[in-house]
Amino acid sequence: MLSFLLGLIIFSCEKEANVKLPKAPPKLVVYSFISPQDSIVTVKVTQTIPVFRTTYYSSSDPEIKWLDNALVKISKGSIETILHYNSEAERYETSSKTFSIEPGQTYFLTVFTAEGLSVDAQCTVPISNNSLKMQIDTIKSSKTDEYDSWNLMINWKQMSPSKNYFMFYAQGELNKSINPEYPNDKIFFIRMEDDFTFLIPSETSGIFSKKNLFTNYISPTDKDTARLTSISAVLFSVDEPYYRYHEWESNHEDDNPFAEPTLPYTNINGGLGVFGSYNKTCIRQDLK
Amino acid sequence: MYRFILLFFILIFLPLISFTQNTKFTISGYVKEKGSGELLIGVNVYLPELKTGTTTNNFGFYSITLAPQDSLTLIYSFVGYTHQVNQLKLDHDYALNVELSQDLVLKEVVIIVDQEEKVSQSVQMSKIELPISQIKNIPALLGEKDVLKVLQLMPGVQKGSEGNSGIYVRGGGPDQNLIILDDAIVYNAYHLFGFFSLFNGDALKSVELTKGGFPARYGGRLSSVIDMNLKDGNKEELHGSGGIGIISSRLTLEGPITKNHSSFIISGRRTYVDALIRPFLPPEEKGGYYFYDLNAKVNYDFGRKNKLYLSGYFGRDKFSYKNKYIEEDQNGNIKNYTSKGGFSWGNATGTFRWNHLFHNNLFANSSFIFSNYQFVISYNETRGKDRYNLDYISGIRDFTLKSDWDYLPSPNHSIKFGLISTHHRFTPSAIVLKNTQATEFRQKAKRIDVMESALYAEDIYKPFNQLKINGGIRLSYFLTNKDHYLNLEPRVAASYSINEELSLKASYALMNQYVHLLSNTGIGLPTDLWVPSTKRIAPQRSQQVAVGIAKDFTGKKVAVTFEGYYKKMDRIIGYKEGASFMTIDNPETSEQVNWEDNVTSGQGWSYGTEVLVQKKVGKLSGWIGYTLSWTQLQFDSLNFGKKYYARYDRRHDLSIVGIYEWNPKITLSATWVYGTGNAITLPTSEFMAIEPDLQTSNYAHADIRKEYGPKNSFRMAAYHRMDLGIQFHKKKRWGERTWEISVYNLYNRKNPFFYTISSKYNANTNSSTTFLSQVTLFPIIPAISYSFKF
Repeated sequence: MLSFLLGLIIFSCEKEANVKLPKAPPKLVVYSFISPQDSIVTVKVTQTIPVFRTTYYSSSDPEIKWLDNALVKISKGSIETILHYNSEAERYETSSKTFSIEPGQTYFLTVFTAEGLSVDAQCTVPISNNSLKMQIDTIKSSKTDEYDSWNLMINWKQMSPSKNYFMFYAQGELNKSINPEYPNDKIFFIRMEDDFTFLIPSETSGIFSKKNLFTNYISPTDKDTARLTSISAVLFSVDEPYYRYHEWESNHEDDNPFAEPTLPYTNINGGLGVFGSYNKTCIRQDLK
Repeated sequence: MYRFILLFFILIFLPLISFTQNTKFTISGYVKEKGSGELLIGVNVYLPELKTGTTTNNFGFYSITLAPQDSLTLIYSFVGYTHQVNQLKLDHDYALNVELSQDLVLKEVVIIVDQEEKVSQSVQMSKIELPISQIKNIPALLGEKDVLKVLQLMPGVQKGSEGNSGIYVRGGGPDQNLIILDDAIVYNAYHLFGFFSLFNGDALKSVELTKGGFPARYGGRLSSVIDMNLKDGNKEELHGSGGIGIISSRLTLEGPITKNHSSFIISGRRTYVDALIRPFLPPEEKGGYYFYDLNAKVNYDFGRKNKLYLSGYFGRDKFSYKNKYIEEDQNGNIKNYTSKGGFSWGNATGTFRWNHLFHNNLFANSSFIFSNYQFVISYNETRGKDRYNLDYISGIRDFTLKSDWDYLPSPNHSIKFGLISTHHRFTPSAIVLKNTQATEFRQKAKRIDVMESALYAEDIYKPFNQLKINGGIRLSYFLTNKDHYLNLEPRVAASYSINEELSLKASYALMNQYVHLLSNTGIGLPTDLWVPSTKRIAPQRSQQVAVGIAKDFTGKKVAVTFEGYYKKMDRIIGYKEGASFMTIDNPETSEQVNWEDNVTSGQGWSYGTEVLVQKKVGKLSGWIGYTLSWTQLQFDSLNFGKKYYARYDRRHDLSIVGIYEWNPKITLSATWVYGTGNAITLPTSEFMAIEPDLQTSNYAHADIRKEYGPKNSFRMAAYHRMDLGIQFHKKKRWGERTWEISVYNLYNRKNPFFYTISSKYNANTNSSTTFLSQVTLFPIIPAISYSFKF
């Protein structure tokens, strides 16, 4: 069938469309995810470029880059601070010691550039009122293949109802690194049913259970020396912008001609990107 | 609700009891075509003294019950046929069968009486009847006459994309059209991915499209009803017709089985592209594509009281290939390798109907209907002793029982009531995989059985001569395993005659749709999947109001209708962003796609005005249709919940169709169409998007993503095209032959089929420019065909 469609395309004629293309003035694109658990508040700023453009390969200047000349301010109530550019990390930042992020507080972000572009956004940091329990069933239950597998059940309950969304992942810790290049690299994401992270829509409480958890990080050849020492479950209480942005990130589909295009989510007024927040709860279980 | 239904039935039937108590006589019978005995649908029977009348139903039956009259004139008239006038003294019941002669020369008829069928006198609005003779005269792509493409030339009806038969009625999708052939639902009405419809004009007796003001007898789809009836077959002598075109040939035979009692018609069409390319394929490879369709019908007339009909449609599209060669493995062993496969899809329908006249004014048609649509992929590979087979099947199968009753107690009441019950069996996917190298994999067909039923009653009531009201109600019921839906669907249409040629009309209809079509592209691919309503996916619903003016210019044989409509659609199906049902390329995984996860429910609005100026007979016939319309959709999970224009929102749509009978030997025809471009979503900008690293809260990963602007905010270039045709007719000893030369897209307009993003490199400046590229499907295409009839 596809070959028929392709055949049609071959016999059909293609030419430059004689239509008025939509205007695409540059827009600021801003990313910031704030959390009470982070030691730093960071903001990355870039801008859009038109799809229909001419690219000169002789130019050493990249077409899309992180901007370093913006004025980035974050505020809560009457307290405002300016973020400074860190050229190594290509982002604007300030320490949470000088500007703290607190649960339940609403934050405002504004970004200006010398070219006259400006955007603003706001978000409210979720209050994490979860009681979190983790239950791991039958370590190394599967003996038929080279990977260990078991069941993991996370049980959480919100102490008071909220409109929080959730994001979850689990990580394992090894007794030693199995990557000689990075001797300190002992932590790895645990893949569950082909996914590493899970977005969970707004609920007041819930049980999250995944089966056939694989520690495929440890290959059979490393099994003799490497050993899993602990498993941690990390539950993020996230605000709606954080959730919607990640939902778009995981569902976006630009290349399938038979799929509906996925419009990018944003809560940045006048621009693109996201200003979101999260509140992290961890639980850890040591393994013998 | 039940009390309301009871009240409604009492209101309808109470007045009828009183009618039966007075002395009245009934004139009833069948109207046939002279020479063939073909029963004629929609013949106007007019009583000038009483300024009232009726029309024949789908089986050519009419009935008028009146108080005794000393002298009564009945005028039978039908487009393309000479009138017949009967006079009688109404002092007893009459069984009066009438035969009308075809008016072979469609000249500007000197009108004997000016009571031919008039749009201004019909209570029904938003209805289009296509004369089959006009379909045969209109130029078509590659000379293949197509009923659905002719319907696309009518106001309020739009095509989706270039060359495609899919139709969009008043803002509704192609899935919202109820397409019925002799009462059987046709689920996929297209051949060759929608480029041709499967209806063969040679076998059709009537085509009727209803866009709004739906009578209660119709239901189950939101936007339109396309009701087609097959010919019964000539009851007097054997006749045939056929044609040879560029891509297909067709042949129809019809004739009596027992003269004047029983007849048959059989009509087939097949493409022969596969046969033409076969000599050019290498010897070790075989394959090709063809489609065929076959219509057949037999009937037996037991007399006035009973008639039986058995009709069927069978059609199939098939792509296939076969490779065969000898290969040598690493050990030097010679092995035969064959691989063959392909895919096919097709409909089969069967209808058994029994007409029974219970009383001179009570006619019933009961039907048993079968309909099946199946899409099959098969792949078979043999390498030495190793075998691999894969079969994938999806489809829908219906068994329907239906009984429709016409009760005509007086010229002021024309009552229809009935019931319909359909058992649908959906098979969204079934896979059988056999592999000698691995264990056999078999996924049993996941069947979903549901019942869809309805009761209806409607009455065309004439309180006084100027006013006609068609009030009706339909009670529809849908039952799945665990869930059921019950809905009441009120329908009303009214027309008020200002004078004999001018009337005002208004209508309201509520429709529910219980089955949904999941489509990858909306262009009618065989992979499109029908699925039932579920607990999560509720039935779609529409409410439509329409108002209009109908004016006949009897002397000029021209009818003008002007209509405005407003349609609100609720719980309509949309596809989530990023969702695709294109899983057929890997059938083994298709079951893992849960369609309910990929769809979302929303609402839609469509409103607009339509003008139709139509001339059905005369040396110059044809129509001009213009539509000004808006269609907007809103889904909570699409476009951030904001309203947007539907892809097929078309502000202006104009069709001009002209057929000119220069002389009995030459017919000229031309069409010109114009439509606003489709609304699509186009990327405008690119930007870096990040994915935060959860462990370290750093921004680990950045990708280039596209910004699109609001959904469907870009308009494709407008579509316009002119087609021309000339037919040369010649009488022969055995009948008549016609050569037709036609040109599709006469001035070679490069209409966009779709847009894609391309880039070109400039070596001088060492740069590349990205631009919007337009793909055009059909340039100017001439065609020639030969047809005959005897």
